[in-house]
Amino acid sequence: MIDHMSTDEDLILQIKSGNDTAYHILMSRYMKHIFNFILQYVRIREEAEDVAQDTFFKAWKYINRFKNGMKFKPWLFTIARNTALDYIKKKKATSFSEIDVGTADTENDSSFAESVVDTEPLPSELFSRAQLSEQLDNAMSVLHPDHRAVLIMHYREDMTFEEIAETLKRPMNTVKSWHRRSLDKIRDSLVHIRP
Amino acid sequence: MHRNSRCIRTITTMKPEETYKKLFLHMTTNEPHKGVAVVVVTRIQRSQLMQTRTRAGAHSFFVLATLIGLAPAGQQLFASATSSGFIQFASLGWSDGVSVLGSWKAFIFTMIESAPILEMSIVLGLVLTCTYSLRRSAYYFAKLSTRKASSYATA
Repeated sequence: MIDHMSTDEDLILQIKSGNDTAYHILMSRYMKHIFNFILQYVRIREEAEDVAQDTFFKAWKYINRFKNGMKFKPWLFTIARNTALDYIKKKKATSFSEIDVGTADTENDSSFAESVVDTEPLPSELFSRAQLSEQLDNAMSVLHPDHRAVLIMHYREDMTFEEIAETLKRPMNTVKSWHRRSLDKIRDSLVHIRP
Repeated sequence: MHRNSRCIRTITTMKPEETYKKLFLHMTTNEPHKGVAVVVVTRIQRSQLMQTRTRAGAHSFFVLATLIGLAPAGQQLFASATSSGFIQFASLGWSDGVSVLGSWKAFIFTMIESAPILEMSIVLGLVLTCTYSLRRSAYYFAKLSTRKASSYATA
């Protein structure tokens, strides 16, 4: 018996045995999360919806490759990211150089992640600003898509750095340094905006 | 005012991780169009239909191919069984059961020696493949007709 309270793993077992309802439940559970995640790569809403469609279709198609003991959320987010990157490549909306810059700066990340001091907390006055969400969206928009994705996965999806590293297929130190660097950038841009 | 200052004090005592978590709650979240899920379901159904059709077609082809292959294989089996004397030995077992039972060991060895093993294996393989494909194609055609019936019902 499956319902909306069933775990992802239970639902996947049901899907594998041919239960379509289980996939509907899983899809409704993750649709919004995946859509917002894809929006970090594909910034146009309609295109993000297309990529979300492809993501869920691919996830259904390759569900038999999902092995017991794996976590569904990172697996699904990996598909979403790959689908979004494929879409971007096909469309050539984003130049490859942008992606290259984002991945090339990972060379010394392991040492970087260890050496950097903790990120400073945000000033409390920030939270009283009326346009905070708009300013945050603007600050996020200048980040690299993967860096945005790290923040979304960590703070909105409550994913651990280990899960994020698994999703992005990057070393954990790289992910940590992306996270730290992105927070610093966001902090800088928010602090320097006049309320 | 009092409430605001209390809130600010709370935030100041928070760890950086917590303040960022709070910050990201302010981020705009977007709702995808409800039709997205419907399109996915339609695509899945279409894909399942295509898969069922392909499988039904493939199994039907196997049934046909094995039936066509069974004719020459059967003929070859009959010819080999006749020339090796297998049929004569087998008929002896039927007509003169008592003497066969008397020297059953020798009879079995002769039967095995004269049996056209290769031809028998081919025919057996074809029969099994044909039966299996027939069963599968019946299953897929039944699935297709159920789907068609349900789509008429929903229409």
